[in-house]
Amino acid sequence: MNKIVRLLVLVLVLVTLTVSLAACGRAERFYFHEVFGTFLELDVQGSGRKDFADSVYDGFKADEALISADIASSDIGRINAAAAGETVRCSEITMNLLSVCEKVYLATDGAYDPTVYPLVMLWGFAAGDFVAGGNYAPPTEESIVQALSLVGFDRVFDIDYESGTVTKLVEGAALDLGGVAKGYEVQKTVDGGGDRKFLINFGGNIGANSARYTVGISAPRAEMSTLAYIGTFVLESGETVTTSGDYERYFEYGGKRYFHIIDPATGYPADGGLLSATVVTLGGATDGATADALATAMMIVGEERAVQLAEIFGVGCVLVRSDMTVAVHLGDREYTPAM
Amino acid sequence: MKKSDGNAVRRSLATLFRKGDIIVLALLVVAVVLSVVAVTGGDDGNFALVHIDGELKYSLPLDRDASVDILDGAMTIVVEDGRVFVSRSECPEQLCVHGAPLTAAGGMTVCLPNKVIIKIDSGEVDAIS
Repeated sequence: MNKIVRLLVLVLVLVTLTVSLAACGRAERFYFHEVFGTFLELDVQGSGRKDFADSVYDGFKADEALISADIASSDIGRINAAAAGETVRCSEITMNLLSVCEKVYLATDGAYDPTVYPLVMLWGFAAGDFVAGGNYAPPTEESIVQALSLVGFDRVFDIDYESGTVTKLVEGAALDLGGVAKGYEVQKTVDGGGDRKFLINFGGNIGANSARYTVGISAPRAEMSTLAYIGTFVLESGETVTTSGDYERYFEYGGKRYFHIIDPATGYPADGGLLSATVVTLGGATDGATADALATAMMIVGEERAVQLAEIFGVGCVLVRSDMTVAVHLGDREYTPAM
Repeated sequence: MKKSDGNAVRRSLATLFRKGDIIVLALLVVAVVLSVVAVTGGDDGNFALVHIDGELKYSLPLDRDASVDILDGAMTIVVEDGRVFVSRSECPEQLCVHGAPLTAAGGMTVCLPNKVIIKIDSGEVDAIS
């Protein structure tokens, strides 16, 4: 064989090897774990993928032990079990998340309130309690009124950021950071991702790092559409996206849908005229934890105020109205409706 | 004109390659094509990847109808007309049974109690929020 043929053979052998190796790695891109009562998906590229995915999971487990309301020994578990007047010393992450909660609580006039937890439990929507498609009825008016007396971020707890302590002021009050924790963890992972290319999907809170990904927005009425999503956009590196909706944890009673986002002002499920609210941290102007809380608040405050909130916080939003029309506020970012 | 050009090309090729070389090259080209096909999954075929407890257990082609019992029959995954869904699950939450069916466009069905995740490989979207 002469030189040219040898070169050709070499090139073709290399191409075959490379492509075959890529084929072997194809299915090994996705890593799944369960943590915080939801799934953690990592779609990772580059070498050491599994080690990276494992280290992210380990970090989440460590944080879960500090902030999950379902873990009795966590900061939140101890706060919720405390009697009125009792002071609980908390870890840094808990205090950080409480300050995010407070910021969004104030900006939304209390629409986002982590102390709404007693009402969420009363309605049967707390994690682990709820069965999709199960037979449920709304709680009684009296029990709702009673639970409402335990709600109010500015009055049922005293939070001292300097000493890192939380004191319960109203007996029976309880906290749940589930509305900010997922967004916080996704943001933390993206911030610490360096130049590794990956997508993180933590219970529908999605983040992109060192690569751009096409993200779909869930179809809130799956039975009415052929696709699982109503539209797509590109999530750029460093950005996160989160969606709140009425279509996962809900029950129907007397022809009406009751879902898991409880309005702290009424004690009843949100009634903002929206089926879902998606918040995107365009250009990373706001953090994922704030975006997570904003999505919940938007379901409660409705379209007009939601758009104002998006402007105030510099985030993009996509709102699906009750009539299935879509309000897109993503700035210059292209949104492609699904066919 | 054309004919003599063709002869010239053939002559120069003959000086470059011998018969054996051509056979080796042809085999390699076939290998390249086969490995590319293996990667892209052939005729735009998409798969539903079934992960159980974090491990990839099944790759179900969307273009082949199937009913797959997993976890000793505790859960049934159905592929029908290019759609994948959980038809039955012995789990407390039942969110997986009530979720939207998956198509080649992408998406994911999660059953936390059973530790089962079904994800469309290389769909139009990388994730759904």
